[in-house]
Amino acid sequence: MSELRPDEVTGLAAATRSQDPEVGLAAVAALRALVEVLETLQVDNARAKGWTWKTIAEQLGVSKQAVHQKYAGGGLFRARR
Amino acid sequence: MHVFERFTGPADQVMCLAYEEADRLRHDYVGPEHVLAGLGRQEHGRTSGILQAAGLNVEAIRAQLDRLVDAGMLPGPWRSNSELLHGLGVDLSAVRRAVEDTFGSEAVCAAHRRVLGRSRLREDRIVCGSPLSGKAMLAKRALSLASKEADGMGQDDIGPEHVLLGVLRDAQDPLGSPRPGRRIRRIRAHLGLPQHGPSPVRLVIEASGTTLHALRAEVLAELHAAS
Repeated sequence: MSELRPDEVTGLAAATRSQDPEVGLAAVAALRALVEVLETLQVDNARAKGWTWKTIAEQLGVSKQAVHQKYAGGGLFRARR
Repeated sequence: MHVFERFTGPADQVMCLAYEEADRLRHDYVGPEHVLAGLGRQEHGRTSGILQAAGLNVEAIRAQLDRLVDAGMLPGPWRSNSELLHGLGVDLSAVRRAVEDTFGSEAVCAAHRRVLGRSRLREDRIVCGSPLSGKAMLAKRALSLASKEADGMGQDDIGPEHVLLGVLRDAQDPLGSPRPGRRIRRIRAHLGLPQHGPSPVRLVIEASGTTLHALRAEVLAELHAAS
């Protein structure tokens, strides 16, 4: 077998790994965590600018209840700020 | 009082260096193994002197940590958030710059804390060590043992020597003993860290031909000589 150049080795490793569920799932988790922070930032900003929960929910494409429950909190499970 | 508030300047510096060592390995957490590397890196320190005398200069520690990565006992660089997201075509540093320019780094940190706060209440959410700010802190037990070492000597301040004693004491127990809480176990699994087996710190130290007990004795002798 001919010897592989270092970049071929890393390319090969990357190609093998992209099929690996461990990589795929961990990548999705990283992406989800990123989305959570971005969503929190945007919702906080919109509320600070006086947007209603209804308008925020419309932009996010979810129900008013969903966004209100997640960000304004529902009493007992209110997110600590 | 919080453990970090008792840290002396040099001990603070050790934690900054530990963070950099975690960065070097592209790890999304700071563990006792990075703190050990930070201790070894500190210049003009009594502790780094002790480590060097035991054959544990920073290059030796780094080489051992790299070996543990190769052996799969520590996560490889591909496990980092930035590499995982890069695989999906997302440039994490560009995203970070964009949101920090728009909202400021304080707001980003606040959002990160809120997300973490939610994850504690909702067990179905796995969010740990946000991609946008900071690393998960997995050296808490070692640092709390460090504060106990200082307490035992009747000292208020926690210096690098106490930190090393805490790291050594923590490494005596294998991973997962005493059994950590469910949240920590989940974070470890998410980061690709083993839940069982000898502690990486122990492996690094024993690879240099010394033992945890011998190093501990060295530190105590040094502290005794100084007082």
